[in-house]
Amino acid sequence: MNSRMLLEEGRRDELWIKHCGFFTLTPDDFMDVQKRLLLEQINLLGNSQIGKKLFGNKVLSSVEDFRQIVPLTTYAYYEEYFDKQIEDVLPEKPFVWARTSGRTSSKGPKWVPYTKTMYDRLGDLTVGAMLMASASYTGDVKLERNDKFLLATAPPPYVSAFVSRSAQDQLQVQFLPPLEQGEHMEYAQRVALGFRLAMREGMDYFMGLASVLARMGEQFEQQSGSTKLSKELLDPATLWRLVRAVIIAKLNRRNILPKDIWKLKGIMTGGADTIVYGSKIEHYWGKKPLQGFGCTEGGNLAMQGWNGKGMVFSHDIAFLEFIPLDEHLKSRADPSYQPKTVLYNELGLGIYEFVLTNFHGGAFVRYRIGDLFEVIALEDEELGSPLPQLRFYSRADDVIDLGNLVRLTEKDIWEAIEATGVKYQDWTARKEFNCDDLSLHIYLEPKPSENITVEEYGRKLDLELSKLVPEFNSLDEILGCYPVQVTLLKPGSFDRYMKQKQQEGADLAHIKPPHMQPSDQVMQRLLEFESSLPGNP
Amino acid sequence: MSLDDALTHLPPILGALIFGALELIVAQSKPRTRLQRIFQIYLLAMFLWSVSAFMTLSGQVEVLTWFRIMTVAPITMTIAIFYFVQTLFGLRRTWAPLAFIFGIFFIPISIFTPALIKDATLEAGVLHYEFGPLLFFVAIPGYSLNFFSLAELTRGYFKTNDINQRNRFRYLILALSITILATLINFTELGKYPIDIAANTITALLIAYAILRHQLLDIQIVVRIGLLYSITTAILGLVYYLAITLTLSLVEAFSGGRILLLSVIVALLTSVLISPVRDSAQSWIDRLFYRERYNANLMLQRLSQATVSLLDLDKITKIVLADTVKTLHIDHAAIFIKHDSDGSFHLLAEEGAPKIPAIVFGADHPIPKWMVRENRILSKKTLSLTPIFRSMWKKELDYLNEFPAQLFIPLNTKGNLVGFIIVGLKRSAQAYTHDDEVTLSTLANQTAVIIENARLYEDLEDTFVQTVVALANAIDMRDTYTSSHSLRIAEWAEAIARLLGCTAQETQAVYWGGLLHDIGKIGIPDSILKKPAKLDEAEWEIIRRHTIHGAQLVAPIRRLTEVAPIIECSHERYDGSGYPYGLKGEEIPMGARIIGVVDSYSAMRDERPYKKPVSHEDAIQELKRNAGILFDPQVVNAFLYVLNNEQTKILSIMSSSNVEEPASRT
Repeated sequence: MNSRMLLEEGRRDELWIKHCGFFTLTPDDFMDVQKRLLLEQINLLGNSQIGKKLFGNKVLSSVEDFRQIVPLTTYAYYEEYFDKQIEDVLPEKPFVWARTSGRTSSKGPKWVPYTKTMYDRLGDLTVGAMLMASASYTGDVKLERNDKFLLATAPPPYVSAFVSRSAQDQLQVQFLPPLEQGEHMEYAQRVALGFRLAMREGMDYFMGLASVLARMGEQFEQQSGSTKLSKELLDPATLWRLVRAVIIAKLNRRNILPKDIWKLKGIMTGGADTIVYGSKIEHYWGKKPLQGFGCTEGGNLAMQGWNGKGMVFSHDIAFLEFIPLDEHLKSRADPSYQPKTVLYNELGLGIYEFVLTNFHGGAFVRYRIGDLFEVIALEDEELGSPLPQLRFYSRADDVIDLGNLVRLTEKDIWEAIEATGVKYQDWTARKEFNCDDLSLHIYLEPKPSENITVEEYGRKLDLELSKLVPEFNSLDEILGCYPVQVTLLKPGSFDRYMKQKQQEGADLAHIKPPHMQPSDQVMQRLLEFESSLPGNP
Repeated sequence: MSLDDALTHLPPILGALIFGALELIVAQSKPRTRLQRIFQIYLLAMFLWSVSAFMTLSGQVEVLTWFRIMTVAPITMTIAIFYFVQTLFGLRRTWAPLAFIFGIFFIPISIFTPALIKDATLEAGVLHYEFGPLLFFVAIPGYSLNFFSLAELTRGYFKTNDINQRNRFRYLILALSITILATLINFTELGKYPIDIAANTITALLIAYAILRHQLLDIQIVVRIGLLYSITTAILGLVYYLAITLTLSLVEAFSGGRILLLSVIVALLTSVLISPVRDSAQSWIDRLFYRERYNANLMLQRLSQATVSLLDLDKITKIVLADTVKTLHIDHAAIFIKHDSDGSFHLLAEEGAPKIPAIVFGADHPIPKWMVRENRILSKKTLSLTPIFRSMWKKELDYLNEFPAQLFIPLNTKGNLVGFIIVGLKRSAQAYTHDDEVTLSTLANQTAVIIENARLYEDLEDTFVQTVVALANAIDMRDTYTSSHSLRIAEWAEAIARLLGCTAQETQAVYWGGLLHDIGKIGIPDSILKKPAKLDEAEWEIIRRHTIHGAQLVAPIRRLTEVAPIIECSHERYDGSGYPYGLKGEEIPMGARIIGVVDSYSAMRDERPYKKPVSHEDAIQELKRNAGILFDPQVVNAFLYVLNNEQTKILSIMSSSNVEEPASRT
């Protein structure tokens, strides 16, 4: 049943069931779907070269066989076929090939085949996320036809572009700017045009990076209150929107905030920054962002419920396995070790590495994408969901372990930096040698308006890290030295780095240094640019 | 009250009553959605319109005030319908709030100022009114909104493929069109007559019909049937009332007690005169609301009678499917039955088969699992929306799409799912109604019991057949040196029957005939059966009766009924020299002629205590020699062909040139 038709015909309950119904599946029903689709996938794989390479001569007839016989895989297993996009080795002919940013791999981008059903499923969960993001209770459908959807996501062949296309196939939503136009524009250009159009036409949903929204909110808050006259103000809708926003802001005795201009129904974001910027976004935009989880190899896989707590994984996109933390650590210590996995209905509270097997003719089998999740609850009564609720914990490689006592993720460091209250342009953190052991080195570029010394900042950061991670207090005593080092970069360091990368034609994902564990090469260039800048940090 | 009065006052009263009742029904209906709340405002506006019209025309109240109140109703109705359509289709018009502002602004102006209605009076029962200067400021946006809503509803109607939705939109479009047209009359000379009020009453009836017949807004009415049957009473009451009023207006001289008497006489006369019409009216209502159910009831009766005495599962399912497809005008239908061995569901019968082969629904398949859990009809809609059905495989979805499966009706007996019926699209492309589902459920319950009985009987028969086959084997062991004698004869006979163009059913009977042709020997003592010496006449008489005994033994077994004559005549000969009846030529059943040939060949080839086996070549020569004498030449020819092919396969040698392929029987 077409979702567009359901919406047009006012069949809202059915639209909810179709896209969000999996939240209320019983664990048994959830696993029935998982197991049945896995058996179909085993059949498809069995007839393909890639499957035969994995299964050998063994005939798999059950989920148990599959988990016992098939080894866990990484991209290296598929590389020889996928880098050249060889299709006749696959279980099913792909509909599109998507690529990763290459940020998580030293070998560059990964290529991922998507069958038509996999492609359709991308939109399924996007519509579900739109419903959840705008709902105040289970079954509360606020989605309407012609809702305006600002997509701050990457162009094709990134999977996020296919997410938008697939969502457009399912629903009559208006993208700002239209997909056909936006896909040919630079990212920044596209987002800027999207917001300009949103001034005129309004905006109901935003999907993209939480940091973009947070940054925009900050810019609004810091503005002087004067509005530059432009020809866009000649448009009555834009003018009306602005006048209304000015009145609301004046009544509240503050500068205009985005929430005065747009009444967003829902915000959908992914990644660690959603948690960090969650309350900031709510303050600026009047709506808490809904966090989802997706990856190029698996598609859209999970999303939060309307209450903004844990994420629930979808039942019909990939076969879900989880490696418990102790098994994960064993396999990190000994790469030849095959860690044991548990299934979705077997999860307990704790941290797990996620393993996926594509359904619907996809190619990845027992694939370790390298992401860690934390199970925060085994059910959610408020949502009526009897399924485990998870949250993204960290990239497996991004966890900075200090003396086996404290594990810091991107989210932890980011939250601590935010909590210092020091305004900053950007930051990056990595493990470096200090006191004969690995330590955490944070490079932060404060905003020019901030007047703070390294020592002062170090104290603030230490205080916030101690609040977040209680074990942090006694760390220096145990290690014999203070394990955190701070470097404040001169204003413009990150900007210069990014401009240079843009000029070099770097891919979107490589324009700015990663927050966690930048390579020596990246750090060297960043520090070179920093040292060439005039003035003090 | 004059006829004019009656005609003037009746429509608003009727309209108010219907709209009031609808308002109550919608208010009671759950769950309460935004759409229903807006629809309630629309109904309230229409109710207000009818009430204020009645008050205005009654002459008992101040006309201008009530007429002004009456003008508020169309404005409210217009806005309510606009938001109803916006919400129904999830439309987002940036100017939508203007409609609300329009209402907020003009409703008080209409009531409290002469800007819209300057004056209104009632003279001799005729309403006269004068519009104010703001008329066009209200009328133009108002009509624009109405036309806009009408256009959106029409667009929605043409866009949806869901027939139920189409039916619902159809009545809304009709109701709104009538309202718009009727209000336009107010700008003409005809405006002094309450045509718009009459039109509102028609609108009320249409909406009531849409709710009753098509569950507009999914409103469930528990009093539905009772309400429908009261329509006849209401119509008759109206006829009485009009007849009495008409008579009284014609005979003005009457007064007091004479009026009462006249009324009674008119009522009696009317009741006599319209009595024949009453049944027709009720039948008309039945047809209007329950036509399909009427036909379906007939079908259920028919099937109940036709299948009650049947125990053949194939026949039962074929009859059920054929009649269902015909009565409900369906393209395809199929019955799947559970296999007890592994709990899977296999196709048993189908009508209008899809182009791709049927799938097997395993015991873990979500469709039967859902039916076991829910014990109700599964619709295509539920299938496409419910998360558990996402576990369906692509090939399963392809099959159901090819069908295209619309409903899955469980066959339950004693709480167990024994199978299910799948029905495809209706030829009219109309969706299955609630009545259809009730019919199919009843049919399924009936069928399930019959199928279960037939299956029990088949199980019983299987046991019988197994016993009989065991007996036949025992006889083989007794009579011959090989226990596979009968089996070999059965296989040859089956091959010959197929070659001669027998139907599948006939071929099957011939096979069983071959297997059981000697079953009657069970009653022959060993002293005769195994006697190495020549038999005397009395002993021969006993031997000759074995075919009759064999036929009598299998005849009561339903599945072997057609096998009995084959066994009985298996020793008849083409020239009439056989036993037990001396039948000749075509008088001998084809199956028996076939068994006669292969049994003779086998007898020649077998070693017996009193004779050596004849060689294959000599046996063939013997058959050829007696073709047209003892044996049917066509059968002999077919048998030689079968043997030749068999030998070719075994020895891998070329077939002999003197054997021609026999002509198929036509």
